[in-house]
Amino acid sequence: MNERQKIQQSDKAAKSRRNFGRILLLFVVIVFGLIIVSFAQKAIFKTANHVNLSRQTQHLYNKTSIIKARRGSIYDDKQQPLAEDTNTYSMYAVLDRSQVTDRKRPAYVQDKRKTAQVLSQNLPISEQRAYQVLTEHPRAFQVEFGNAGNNIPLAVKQKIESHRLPGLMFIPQQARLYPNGVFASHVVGLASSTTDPKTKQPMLVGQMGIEKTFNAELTGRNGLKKSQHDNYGYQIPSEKGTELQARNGDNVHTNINSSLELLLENQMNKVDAEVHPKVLNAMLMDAKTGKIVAAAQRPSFNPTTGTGLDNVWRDTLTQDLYEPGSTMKIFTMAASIDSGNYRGSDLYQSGIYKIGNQIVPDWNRNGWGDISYDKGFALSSNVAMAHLEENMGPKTWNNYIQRFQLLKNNASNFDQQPTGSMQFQQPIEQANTAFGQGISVTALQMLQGFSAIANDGEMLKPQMINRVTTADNQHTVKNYGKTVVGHPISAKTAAAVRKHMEDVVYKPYGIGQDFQIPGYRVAAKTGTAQISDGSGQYENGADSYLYSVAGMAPAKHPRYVMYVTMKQPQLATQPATKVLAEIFNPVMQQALSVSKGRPEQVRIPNLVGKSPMDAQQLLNQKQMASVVIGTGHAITKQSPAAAAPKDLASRIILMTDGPMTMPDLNGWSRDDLNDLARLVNIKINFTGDGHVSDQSIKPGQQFDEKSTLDVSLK
Amino acid sequence: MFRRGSVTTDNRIDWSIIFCVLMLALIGLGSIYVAASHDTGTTSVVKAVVSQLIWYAIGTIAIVVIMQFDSEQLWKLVPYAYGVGLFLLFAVLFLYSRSYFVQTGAKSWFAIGPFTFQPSEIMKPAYILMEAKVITEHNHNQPVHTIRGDWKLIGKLLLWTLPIVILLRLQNDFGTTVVFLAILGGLLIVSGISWKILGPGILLFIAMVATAVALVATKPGRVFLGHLGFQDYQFARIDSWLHPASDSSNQGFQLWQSMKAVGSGGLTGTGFNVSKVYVPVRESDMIFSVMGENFGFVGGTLLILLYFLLIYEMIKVTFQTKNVFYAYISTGVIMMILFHVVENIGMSIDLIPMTGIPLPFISQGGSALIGNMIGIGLIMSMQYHNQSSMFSTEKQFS
Repeated sequence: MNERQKIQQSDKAAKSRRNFGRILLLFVVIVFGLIIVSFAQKAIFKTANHVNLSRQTQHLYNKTSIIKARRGSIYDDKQQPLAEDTNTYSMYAVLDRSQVTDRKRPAYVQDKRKTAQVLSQNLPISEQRAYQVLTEHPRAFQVEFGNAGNNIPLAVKQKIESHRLPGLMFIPQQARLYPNGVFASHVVGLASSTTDPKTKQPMLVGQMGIEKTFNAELTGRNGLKKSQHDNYGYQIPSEKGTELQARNGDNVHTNINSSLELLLENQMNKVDAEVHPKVLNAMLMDAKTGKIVAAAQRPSFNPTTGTGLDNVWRDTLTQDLYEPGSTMKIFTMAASIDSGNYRGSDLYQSGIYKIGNQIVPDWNRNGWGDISYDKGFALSSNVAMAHLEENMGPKTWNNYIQRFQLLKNNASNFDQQPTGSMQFQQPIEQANTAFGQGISVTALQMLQGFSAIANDGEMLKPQMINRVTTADNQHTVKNYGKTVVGHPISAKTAAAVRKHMEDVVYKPYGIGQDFQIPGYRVAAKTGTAQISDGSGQYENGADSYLYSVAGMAPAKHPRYVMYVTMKQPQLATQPATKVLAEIFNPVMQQALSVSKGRPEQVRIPNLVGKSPMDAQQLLNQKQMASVVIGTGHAITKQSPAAAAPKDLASRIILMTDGPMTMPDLNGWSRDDLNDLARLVNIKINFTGDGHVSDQSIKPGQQFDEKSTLDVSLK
Repeated sequence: MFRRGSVTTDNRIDWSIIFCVLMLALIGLGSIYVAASHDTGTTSVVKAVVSQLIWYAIGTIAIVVIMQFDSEQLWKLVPYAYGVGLFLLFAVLFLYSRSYFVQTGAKSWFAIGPFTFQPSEIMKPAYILMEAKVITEHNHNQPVHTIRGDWKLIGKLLLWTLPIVILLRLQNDFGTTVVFLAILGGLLIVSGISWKILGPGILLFIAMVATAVALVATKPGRVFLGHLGFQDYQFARIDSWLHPASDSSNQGFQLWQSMKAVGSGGLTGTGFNVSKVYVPVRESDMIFSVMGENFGFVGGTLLILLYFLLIYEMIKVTFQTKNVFYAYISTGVIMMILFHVVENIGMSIDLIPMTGIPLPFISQGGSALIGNMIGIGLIMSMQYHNQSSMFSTEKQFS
């Protein structure tokens, strides 16, 4: 190769290089141009793959969070909550060392000593115990702290978080708190957590009672919060976030008077424990307004713990149809008097009365000879009622049944209201209805009917609800005032019927003498109904009856109406009327004494959350005796509940977290022990009667929920 | 005119390149400051900025030292540089930093005390030198290009590339491999190889890329690629490129955050050191997002134009050199820097799939900076020693 060729070659190479330079430059221009265009698309037009980037960016530092609407509360008549929302958290600690944040910072517990110390300062757990939990399973991914790590209020969570300890995680729990446990449970009902199909967030939905019927009002509407956050998700305080306010749910104010309700529940417990009825219902109604101030039933359930929910889902107060029996005679008398057919001094042959080839028997088939109708009513004679029905005629009687609206749905605040029915074709059937057989009703229908007797002929709708208000209780959304649903009888008739009901209680031959209440004149009517087995036959045997009492007092101008029914008691320790009186008398008496303007009783303060020392000091000042079970730092439960009258229990049992220790039970009554058993959920075996003289778990000894306590009473 | 008599130092130093690098260094320090002060990571702000400053100083010394070598000295240096580089690439397979491996999955870093070092970055200029030498030698020995000769040249170039590709494969560092291939591509085009080979070659390359994308996008294709040794994380990168919004993995998150940062910057940016979007590893790979967020489209475009200016200046030097060895070196350096810039900015705005490639002169990290500075040093040395060498053909044109 010669020099010239070389030159040509290198010339060519240089040329090709220059060409490459130009091509490269062009390439760079194109590529950079492409980058700039794509960059402009992202930076200025803010889209990437058809996704709006600026919205995405907004999403990023405008974090959108749902502000949960608070479910409304259900209150008693003094705006004390019967059901309310609590925003609590449960906590766990991550131990696994592989858990790190985006920034490679630890997301596990690093300083276990310090963590244990902080936890012990804020939660009912000792430092040693917390440290033990953190260290006992070194290979665990995460550990929990039992009760101490549950139901942590927001303030406590924030306090713990202020220490910036890594590895402590909190999960929000939206919980519905029913502070009083078994407490008008079917009236208040139950809301439980389900997943909102729209937001995939847990939400509370009413399943029964007021929680269900007023679910829409209670739920409210969730809000949205768009807040600005910095790189780490911390809110930027200076930046304003937009907010769609959550509308908290409305509050439902019931007419429940907590102290009466508490007393009623207490008496119901007693009777329930004593005779084990299949169903026990009781309602106390304000005779002047129709307000139901106390309502209870057994079996019942504890809405917070769910205990007893399996047993009865049905609201027996409003949904059970039954044959009312002799309390029906109140209406028969009213109809007979009001229609002008009643001649009380006339005599009739008691015992057995034949209609066709059927008989109407008195409960005492031998009868009491020829007696007056007045006396017949007080003796609860079926024959007398059959005559009264015959005298006024089935048409008139049926007319009065309609006027008392016994077969009509009357309780609009409750769902699935059965209306009831009766057999009214044959004369014997018509006669049966006069003493409450062959006609099925609900307890609420009966109560409404009784209101006409108590309220001088003006029949009042029983009202569970007083009003619905906005969440702040400032505005009333709906009022449920006194509602007159009819005037089935005249005032004169009503007064006359009450007079006859007084006879039941006060005449020497009256069969309701157990319902006498010192200081008040009571008008009452008892009932013993045979229970239909569902196929037209009546059940036989000792426990095949439904016992009831309908009473009002003071008899002259009734202030309260009370209706108690007890279906099929399994243990007959004493006459049914005595058993019913255990509920009727104290509740009615207390209701009357309160309404009479007597100073309200000293109430038990709410001690939950306080330290045992503070609590006992407070109780000492109010001269209430107390006993503490447990060794923890804060009181978790108390019995009786807050707002209960002071003299409901001889002492207040306070329970704290931590291991339970047995108090000295010496001198405790059976009621006290039942209280204790309910509070700490242990089984107690009694021997003997009277007061405790010996206990199997010694004072100061630790025990748990599985323990059984044997006590001897003397 | 034969040999300029009055060549001053001023003329021998390319001030526009120095200007570009200096500007980029300042932008880099600012961006690292922003990234470090918003991300309370392991290092402090001062430490991050100061250590980067130290690396710039070391890089500057490297430039000055390399400028002292003329092409003949460089020529002699080539085998040693390549050998040392290859040795380091090999050594890192055994002495790699375990913590970096855990974080990135690549065995490409040495860690000595607080300093980390990626030998492949140093390998880049060494590789450029070696390939430039190979081409120069080949063209010198066979001044007339024949198809046969061209294939032989391609074979030689590939031979020197192969060990690096293998070692990088073992290191599990795909991104850097692509850089080497880009350099190779540039050199192939400029080496004077006939377009009869290059033309079909480029078409084949395009077809292969298209096939690869098609393979990655389909399930059986992925299985096939998996058999070839491709890793899940590489698929993930493609996925996050194709569907950035739908990918919630680390990769997608990083990309998506970067785009959000760019998006939040808008036209003129949020202002210096105002950052609301957290972008993972924005101090190194994702550093463009800092510029994009703080100074918006305007700032980012200025940065791109600055790179354009730098590359333009380097191309100009390549035009002007009379020394083919230098020309090949500068082509390699241009390809290296160009590829880094395009890939890094491109991936930050979802134009190109993600690879772990830093933005030259700006991203935090010493070894990449030193590698690029050496590249700049080579170009500057070209200008500095533009007068004579054994391959100079200046005579013929004067």
